[in-house]
Amino acid sequence: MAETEAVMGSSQEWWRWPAGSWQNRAALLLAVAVCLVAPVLIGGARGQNLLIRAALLAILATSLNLAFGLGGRLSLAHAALYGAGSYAAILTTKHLVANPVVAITMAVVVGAVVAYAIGLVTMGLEGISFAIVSYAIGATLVLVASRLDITGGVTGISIEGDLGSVPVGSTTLDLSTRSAKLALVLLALVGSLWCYQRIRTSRFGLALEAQRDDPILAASLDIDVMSLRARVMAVSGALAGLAGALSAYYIRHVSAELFGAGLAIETLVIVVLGGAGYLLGPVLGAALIAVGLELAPFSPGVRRAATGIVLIVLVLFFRHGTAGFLAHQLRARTARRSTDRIVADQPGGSRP
Amino acid sequence: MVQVLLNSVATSGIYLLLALGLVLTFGLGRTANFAHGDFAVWAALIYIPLAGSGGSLAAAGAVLVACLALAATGSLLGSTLFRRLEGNLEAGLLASLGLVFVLQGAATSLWGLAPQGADPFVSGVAEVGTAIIAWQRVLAVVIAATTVLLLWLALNTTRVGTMVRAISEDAEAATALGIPTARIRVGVFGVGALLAGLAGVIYVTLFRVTPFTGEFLVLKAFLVAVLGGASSILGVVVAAFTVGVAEVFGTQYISASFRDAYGLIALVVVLIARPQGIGALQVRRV
Repeated sequence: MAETEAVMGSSQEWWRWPAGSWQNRAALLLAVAVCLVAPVLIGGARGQNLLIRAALLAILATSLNLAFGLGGRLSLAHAALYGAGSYAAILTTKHLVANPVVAITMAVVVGAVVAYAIGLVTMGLEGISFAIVSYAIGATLVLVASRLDITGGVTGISIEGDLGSVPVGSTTLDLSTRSAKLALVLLALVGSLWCYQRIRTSRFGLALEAQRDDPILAASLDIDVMSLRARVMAVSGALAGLAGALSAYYIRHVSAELFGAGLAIETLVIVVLGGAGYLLGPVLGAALIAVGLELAPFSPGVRRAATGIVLIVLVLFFRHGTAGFLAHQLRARTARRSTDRIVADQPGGSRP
Repeated sequence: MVQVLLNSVATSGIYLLLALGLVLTFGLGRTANFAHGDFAVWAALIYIPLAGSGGSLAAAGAVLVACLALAATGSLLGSTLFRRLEGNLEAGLLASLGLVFVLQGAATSLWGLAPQGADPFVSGVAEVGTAIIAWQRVLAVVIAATTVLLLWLALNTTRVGTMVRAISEDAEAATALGIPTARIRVGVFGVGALLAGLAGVIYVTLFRVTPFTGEFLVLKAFLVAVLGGASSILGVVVAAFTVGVAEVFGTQYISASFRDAYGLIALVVVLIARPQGIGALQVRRV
């Protein structure tokens, strides 16, 4: 028993709790509590801004983690989806209704629809062909957005409106303060992670992983590989749209240049740095990148170059990212302990 | 009408040079090099201060230096980074994305963010009926055409060219037959980067570049490469002119706002017509 566990990896590994288990619920409750307490504990503007930026990147990276980590779809269009969410939120606020709930819902829907369309067009492509075509689509969307009137062209658009206040019972909750925004963004991050975890443990998620590892075998098991690929893009696009909408409310300005290849690559660096396919990988990656860039006194050019070097080093030496590295260490330790136990259990046996 | 076509030709030539380099390295090294556009930008940014306003001799020297520098960089990367990641397509692609950031960041630090341009090699305009075209654009087309012809001859008539084609068809069998696969791959990486450099230098004499222009250039190059297919140079030539003409005509007759979308629309149409993928980028399973 112990031997099998040592070889196969324990089923009780913390990152593989089944959906609906008490550990999962406890973790979720704890995470929500942390989100609500964090804005109180971290009072400074610098810390809060840093945390908001990191959390926004983590949501976007979680969205990419769904498509890339779980589905094996190396998408370079996610920055454009994030942009679509941003534009949707701002344009809704400006031209339809100044209601944040409507605007954010709109952004999620727009992100999902655009992503689903991309997914449908590219579902026959695999691996790097998909990456190339998704890059072409994302980059073109950004170029078009920078030339249209409705998106404000190169200058982009700004909004004066804010999240406003929401009536809760007899009091009103003011959402326009930085602390409220921080709590909201953190809650959205927890929600995204919860989505990711639910999907991974569902039939959909298992089929996705099967499709990622061997599309031909998956198809022979009656998995509809094509529609799966389009659907994972849609779900992932919804999360990217959510992140985009929240960022629009945070910086109150959108312009096309924000959503170009720079953001696409940065998101990918975060996913790979944290560990693609790990629940908390995007969070680790976003935290490391955001804190690293904040602390490093570099010029923007040097920062960009350094981020690129990080990606190259990861690809060459740490293909599974931080979470993969930690999981490996943990597994190795569990295995060693099990071996110790087996040796000790044998008559007259003790570790030499 | 003629004017519109003439305007598109020079742009198509630049796209063609870029896409050829990309197709060469993809066909041989199986590397989808996203940093290809940044190679072009680097060549342009090296060229500008060297050429200065020192006349045609300085310009010629600067072209030579820029292209050779790029060829050296390309071979170096081909023999180190991309050689290490050979066989893992996804890793190669991720590494090239890292390279994009490195090149962009370094270019920003070295040359700043301001858009820069360079004087054309030749000035004046040619008259074709009622239409006019700058001599510089004519020269761009001539350079592109000559390069394509030379490349075609090299691939189809020389011994090394045969080896290159053999490797791109079946690298394992080629190696078994004694073809120095590794060395040829490095050489082809160098040639690919050199073509990017040439395209970059021509581009900067017609348009302005910033450290981020590479993102735009690699987009065009990928569109052309994907549409054209990696199997024949002719396919790439046709695709380059299709994209160039589609952009100019779309701008003229539909809307300038969507100029960069017309190439993509062509690609999407092809994808919908052939959802199983495009020949050029379908990778054989080993």
